[in-house]
Amino acid sequence: MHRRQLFTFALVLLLALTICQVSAWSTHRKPKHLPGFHLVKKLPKTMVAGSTYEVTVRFRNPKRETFRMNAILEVTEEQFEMGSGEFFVTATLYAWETPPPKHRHHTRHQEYCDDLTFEEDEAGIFNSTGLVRAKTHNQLTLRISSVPNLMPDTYTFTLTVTLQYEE
Amino acid sequence: MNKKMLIAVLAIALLVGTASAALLTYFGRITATVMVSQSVKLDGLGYPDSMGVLDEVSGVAGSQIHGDLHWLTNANPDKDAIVSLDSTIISGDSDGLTIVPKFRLDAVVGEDNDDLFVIPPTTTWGAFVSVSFDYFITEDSVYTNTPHVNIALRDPDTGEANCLIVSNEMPTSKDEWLTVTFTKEWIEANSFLAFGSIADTDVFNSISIEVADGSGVITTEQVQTVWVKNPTIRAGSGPIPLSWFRVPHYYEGCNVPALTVHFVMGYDFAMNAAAGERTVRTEVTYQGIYTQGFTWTP
Repeated sequence: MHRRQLFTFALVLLLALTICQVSAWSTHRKPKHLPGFHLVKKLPKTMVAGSTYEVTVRFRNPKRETFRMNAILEVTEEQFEMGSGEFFVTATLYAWETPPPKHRHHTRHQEYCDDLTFEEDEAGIFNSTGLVRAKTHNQLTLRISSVPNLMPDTYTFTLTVTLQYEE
Repeated sequence: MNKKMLIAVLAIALLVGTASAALLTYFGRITATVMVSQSVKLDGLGYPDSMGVLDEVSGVAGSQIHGDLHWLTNANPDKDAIVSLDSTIISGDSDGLTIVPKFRLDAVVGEDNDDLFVIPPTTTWGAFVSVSFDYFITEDSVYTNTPHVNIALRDPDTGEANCLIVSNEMPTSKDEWLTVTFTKEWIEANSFLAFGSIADTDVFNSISIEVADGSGVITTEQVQTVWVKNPTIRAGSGPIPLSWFRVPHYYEGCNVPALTVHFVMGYDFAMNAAAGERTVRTEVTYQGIYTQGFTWTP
């Protein structure tokens, strides 16, 4: 085979492979809904500034693999602009291989437990990222504290949990 | 050269495509809307509706007059609050007028956590001038018992009371005001019993003032009405313009609800005070959460 033909063949092959990979990437990149994601303990309708309140969610690990979890809590204020350092967030991740007890936010007998650190990246946006061991059932409990002189207002809390797997 | 570059670009594109393809993402999201209310309120109102007292005072030289009764409540379910009072004379002559907030000690009776006045950790004993209080022995109180007031200075490191001074004034009638003033030389006062030593340390972070009758407080009827003037700190010695004090949360184990702190603003007119009306605005500011040992959160 002529050298030019060989080069053209190789070029076409590489292009085809790249297109296939990008196509697959596009398909896989589309986020899927986290299985079993639900609220176990919700925030109260009213909060007193300076106190700590918990919110708990559970979800299932869709693959029996270690995953990277990214949890983002976004706090917005209705009337005023959010400032930094108004809230503080800590969290604990509990995990079980078998379904945990159905008691609300039950944390006893967990097979895995890890305290998570949330950093306030921007005013009111708290981020925690880390690798999580492969357990099927997971429970994330967030403890949300506010400064005592927090402005009375209506606040909206949005928690987004993202799991990423490397295939 | 061009061919090599082209191959290199394609190879990188292939690698990027392969690497990107490895990410598989799942996500879940919840949203909640919450009303946040203030933990400390003045006369039932929080900021921005009110967290201040406005008094128009006109007194005779050499007299003391009081403003209206106000109250502070702490809605926080599990933490005490530190509140500061800062007064400003917004009209009238400031010469010869001393503003003295006075607190009724019916909120912290008989409890261990009775640090009513809080002092920043940098304040030294040498900065103190005095603290004083008035008893009013009301008719329905158990006036036959000896009322006493415990005053303790707390060590910021251990939280332990370093010095305890107990007053033992005996009322002589049913309705009587007793005015007691402790100065820096408290321990030398003959009419009081003193335990411990103030010489062990020169830094304190709180004064606790506790009132009780001689046999221990059981019901509200046994509480003597005591109004405490804020501890006087020498100017420039600490960041206390007027007064910092504690608004306790409700404690179920206490027979006396510890949810409300009553106070009045006192206005002392010096003998040489000029005549005329003054308007005084006192701001009440929520400074933070109180914990033993004066650890601020955050």
